[in-house]
Amino acid sequence: MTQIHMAEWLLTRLLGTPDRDAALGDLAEEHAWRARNGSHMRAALWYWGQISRSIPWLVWIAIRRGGSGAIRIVVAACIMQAVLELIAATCLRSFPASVPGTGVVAFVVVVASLFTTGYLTERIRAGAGTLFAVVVLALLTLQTILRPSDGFGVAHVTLTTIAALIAFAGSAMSANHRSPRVQ
Amino acid sequence: MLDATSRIQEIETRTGRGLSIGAIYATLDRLESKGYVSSVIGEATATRGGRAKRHFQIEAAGRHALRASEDAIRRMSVATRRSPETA
Repeated sequence: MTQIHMAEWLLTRLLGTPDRDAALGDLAEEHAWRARNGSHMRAALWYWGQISRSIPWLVWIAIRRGGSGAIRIVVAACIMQAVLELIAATCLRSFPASVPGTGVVAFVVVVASLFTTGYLTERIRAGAGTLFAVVVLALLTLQTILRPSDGFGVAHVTLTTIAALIAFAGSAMSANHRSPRVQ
Repeated sequence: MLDATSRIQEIETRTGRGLSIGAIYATLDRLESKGYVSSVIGEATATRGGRAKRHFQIEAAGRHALRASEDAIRRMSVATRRSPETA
């Protein structure tokens, strides 16, 4: 898998935004032209620079197109997510602390519910899933900053990032189901 | 009618600064929602990894808005040149 294919693979699985495929096509075309007419290394650097700078814009397009309807859906989804996590936490608290694997179970429950909620919100309204994933990312970042007792460790930040990316993946899968790529 | 790839090269050359394709799409998306440009999905080629191209075209409302903006900038420039100390 070339690095261009890797970037495309990642983006199609994490972003379900409307202009993603057109933008990726443009970048592939431009990258091929730059690689033909210059150095491959410089073309690859240009490509990755474009990808990293374009992601926030593509996310913004999806959120803007979702409109105010998407905000209402995301508020409802966040409440549902909080209730679900509360129920899971209450159930897990009933186990003695000595029982191993409760942390893993909690993480799996959170990740599964984030994926499902991301998928469903995008299914209900285009753009809502992306907005939900952005809200999850923002809330998890805030939680990491405001509650240093949870730890700033590499493991905590990694798990937080994975959880947010899972919400993006759920949203992207739903968007990909709605409008499969033209081959 | 232009696509974003030729647009990115042209804008970079004309302005002398780098642009992201995402920023171009975000701007075009906003212009399209205002009715200033329209777009059609074009052909998918192997060079593009099988992805379709989106072509944009300026509309009459877009030309009118562009002319209005140019006129406003021209009037502002004239006023600034006349009284540089108050600008």
